[in-house]
Amino acid sequence: MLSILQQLFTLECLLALVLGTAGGLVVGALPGLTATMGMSLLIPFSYKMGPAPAMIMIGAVYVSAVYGGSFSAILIHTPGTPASAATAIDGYELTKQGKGLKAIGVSTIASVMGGTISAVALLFVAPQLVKVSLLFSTPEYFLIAIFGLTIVGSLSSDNMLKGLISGAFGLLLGMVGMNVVPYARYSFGNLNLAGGIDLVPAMIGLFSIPQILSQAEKRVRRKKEGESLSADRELRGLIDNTRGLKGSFFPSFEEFKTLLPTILRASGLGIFIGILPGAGGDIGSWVGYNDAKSRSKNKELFGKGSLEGVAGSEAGNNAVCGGALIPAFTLGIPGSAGAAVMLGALMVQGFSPGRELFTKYADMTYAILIGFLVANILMGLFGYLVARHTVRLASLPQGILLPVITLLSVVGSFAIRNNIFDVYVMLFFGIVGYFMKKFSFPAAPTVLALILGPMAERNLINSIQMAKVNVALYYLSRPLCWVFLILIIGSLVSPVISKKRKAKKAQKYA
Amino acid sequence: MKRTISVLAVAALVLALFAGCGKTEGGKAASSSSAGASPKEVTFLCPSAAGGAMDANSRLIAPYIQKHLGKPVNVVNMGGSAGWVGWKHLHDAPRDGSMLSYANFPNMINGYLDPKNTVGLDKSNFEFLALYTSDINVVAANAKEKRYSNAKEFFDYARKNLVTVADAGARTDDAVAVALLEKALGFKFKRVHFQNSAEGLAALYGGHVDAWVGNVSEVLAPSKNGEMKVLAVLDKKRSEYLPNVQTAHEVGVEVVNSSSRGIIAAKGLDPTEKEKIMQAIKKAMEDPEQLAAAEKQGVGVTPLYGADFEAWVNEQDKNIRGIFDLLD
Amino acid sequence: MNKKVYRQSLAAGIVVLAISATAFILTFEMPGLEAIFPRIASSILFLLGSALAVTNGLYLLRDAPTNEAPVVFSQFYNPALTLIIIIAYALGIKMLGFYVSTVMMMFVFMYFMGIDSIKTILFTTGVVTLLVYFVFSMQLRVPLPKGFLL
Repeated sequence: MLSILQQLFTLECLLALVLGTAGGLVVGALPGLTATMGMSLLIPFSYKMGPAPAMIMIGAVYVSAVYGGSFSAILIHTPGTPASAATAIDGYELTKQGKGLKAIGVSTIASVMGGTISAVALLFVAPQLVKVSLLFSTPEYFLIAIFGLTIVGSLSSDNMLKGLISGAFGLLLGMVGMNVVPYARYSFGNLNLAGGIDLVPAMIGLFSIPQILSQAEKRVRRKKEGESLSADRELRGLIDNTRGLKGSFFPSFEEFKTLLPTILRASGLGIFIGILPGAGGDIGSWVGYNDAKSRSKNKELFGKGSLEGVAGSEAGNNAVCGGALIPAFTLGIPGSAGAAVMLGALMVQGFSPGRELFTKYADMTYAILIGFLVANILMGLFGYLVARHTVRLASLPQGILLPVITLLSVVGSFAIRNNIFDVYVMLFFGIVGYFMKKFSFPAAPTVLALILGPMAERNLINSIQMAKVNVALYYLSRPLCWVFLILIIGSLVSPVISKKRKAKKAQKYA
Repeated sequence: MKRTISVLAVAALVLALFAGCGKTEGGKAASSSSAGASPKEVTFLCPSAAGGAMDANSRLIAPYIQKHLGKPVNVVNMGGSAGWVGWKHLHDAPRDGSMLSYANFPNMINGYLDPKNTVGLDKSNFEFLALYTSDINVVAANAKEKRYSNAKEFFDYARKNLVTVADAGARTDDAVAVALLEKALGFKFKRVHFQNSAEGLAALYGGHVDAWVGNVSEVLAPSKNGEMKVLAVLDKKRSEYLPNVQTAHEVGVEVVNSSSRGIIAAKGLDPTEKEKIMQAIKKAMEDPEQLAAAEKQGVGVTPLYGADFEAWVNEQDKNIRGIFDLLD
Repeated sequence: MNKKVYRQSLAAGIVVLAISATAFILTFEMPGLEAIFPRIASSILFLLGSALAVTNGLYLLRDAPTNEAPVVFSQFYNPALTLIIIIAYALGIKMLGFYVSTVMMMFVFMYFMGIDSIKTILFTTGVVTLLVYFVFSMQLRVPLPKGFLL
């Protein structure tokens, strides 16, 4: 124990921890810069550091970037990373109601709790959880993805049909490019499309551009020479009153009591999603969000500003981080893209994942894991310190905000692959997203389908490749598949049942 | 009106200022200066996303090329379409020695042999400067596998029963290895194409597939830890890293395949620049510091320079043309 | 008023039908495994699109009341102008270079949105450009396009 702490409490490690956490927050908050990107670009720097500080720094960037994405998701309706897409839905509504600071507060608490719980799981029950993850393979992943897609219905309670259309549209868009078999579909001869549509520019386009264009509708034209428009005051930002600034960061004790079960469940789900190699933070956040919604006593609030939604999504995505490291460190199989980069950093330092990490190099490994745990808490502290100021940023006049968001959206989209084509993808989705918004087609189902569609297809094709006799029999021969089949049927049937129940109740009192 | 004019005037002023500082600005795209002068820096294109093996390799060797060339060598990631977005970018750039690229085989060859590939480039559009690393393919099974424990038993079993084999993608070196094996053995495997080696390993460890094809560097640690059994090495001689594993050759299956990566440039690279770059690359690949760092990362450095590399590529090209139709 | 909402949704439904039909037809060239999902997705989209068109067509005929507000096309004037600025910016990046294009976009966009004070415009542009330079160009070494200017 002492030797672990000796490894951890060196100046290098502590500096790495602080810089990684702060840097990660910035990376996460900037739209277009994802956690994975930030981490991989740090690997060259990490060569020159010792293994423990290098891994701690990269790990700190990982968790704080996933958390940091919630800031821009909540304040400017542009998810800072794909893992915060679900947060943007309710988070932004809360900001519009002047509760932006509290939304960030809830996001902070949820992220810290989710991350810390998963870090604890990583420290104490990694071997057991790994065994669980190996039981799952392509048939189960396919069914999990389908189950995820059934959430689409619940995301569009206002206009079910239009929501489903958004989802199906997202499914179709996800088919552009190759999947498993190297045949480029819907590419129209364009080399860039042949590789498929990258999620991040599409997401930025769907969330931020429609927002910009909608706000632009309210632009006031200058009348004549000399008339001082005081436009700076006319086009005030979203938070007209200072409620957003003075309001509380921390939820009240009552509110926290309602949120706690959501956070705990979302954390558990996030850890589970994390240990599955096929699913990452973006899926963890949707699972957390959906779980929060289905168990909530205030379902009507979802989509209009539900703190539970923010809590579920943020606890889910941060819990994935620790969970994903479990198969990564024990078996060399990363549970998410971020975990893959951490593995890469580990191997660059000359270490291989597996038993040796926990025996021969135990001191270093546990120092890294404890550092990871501390990062999850530290990011909350940093978040708390800057929250008020970032909220103030969001109340700047639209005239300043909109061009800046445009700039960040464009740069962010470009920076993913250093390819200007991604900027055009962002614009395309922006324009389509704007029309979707105007004609009441929700954007969230499209993003969800863009994430889950390719995952479902890939696993379906792989399971067909793996089935030696008959695909259907293959699925039915696996007990876990039955579990998910039942869950899917339940998810499809339950809205119908609850409607019937409501109708019956209404009849009773009629 | 007055307002508008003043705003536009300021804008123009600022523009002029920026344009003026143009020469001293940052930004790391390669700058090709006036004709004849050597470029001030070199862009080392990595045609895959940051964080993968290609990226790690690029960032490993580039600093040493920089050291021996005397000018900045910057790694820039440009992923997409299995490397072709990057290689097209290389092809479109000037031939003045300002841009090099990393390339992986057999992926590149598979790419241009594909009739659906619309890029219109093939090996004749590039100059092959140096091969850096070669990672031999292996076949592995689950540690608790009872049906076979070595190459002979595996091939015998597979001859009589349909066997699922995991690889890292339909056009990867693993898939090529599987196709070569099928051709040599005379029967087919049931191929399962995962997104990468790790997913395939998860399937193997969970007992969801019968066998897995990967590379030596990927199996060293797991086989030492008893997490998997390595059945065969696809080479003429046994691997120094896995001395107890049979080669396919030993049991009559003459297949050799590997995942290799090297440095290329666009065809028509200026000869003086080429000479300088080749010198730098050679020194970099022999640099003891670099070799130590590569060793640490588990990268086996197996250099082939200039004409040797080109001959190697031509041989690979021939082999793969032989089995290309067998690939998915 | 009511009719407009239905007409718009009906039109939307028809657009969806067209897109899904085209997508489905394009799947004929695809190899077996690859065609499965696109066909399923475009079929689902087709069915949903027809549902949308049919239900709104029926509402239209029955003249059913609704609370929804239709989209008024005059709303699009400002967004259209904004979109032109954004598109010009994106195209300008490749031609004029990133920094030049950005500065121009910031000036035009901020002025367009009613910021009068030159100080504010200069300050904001300066701060944001420096931020991008520091984070993207210096720390992350992202090669922002140079164009023929900057």
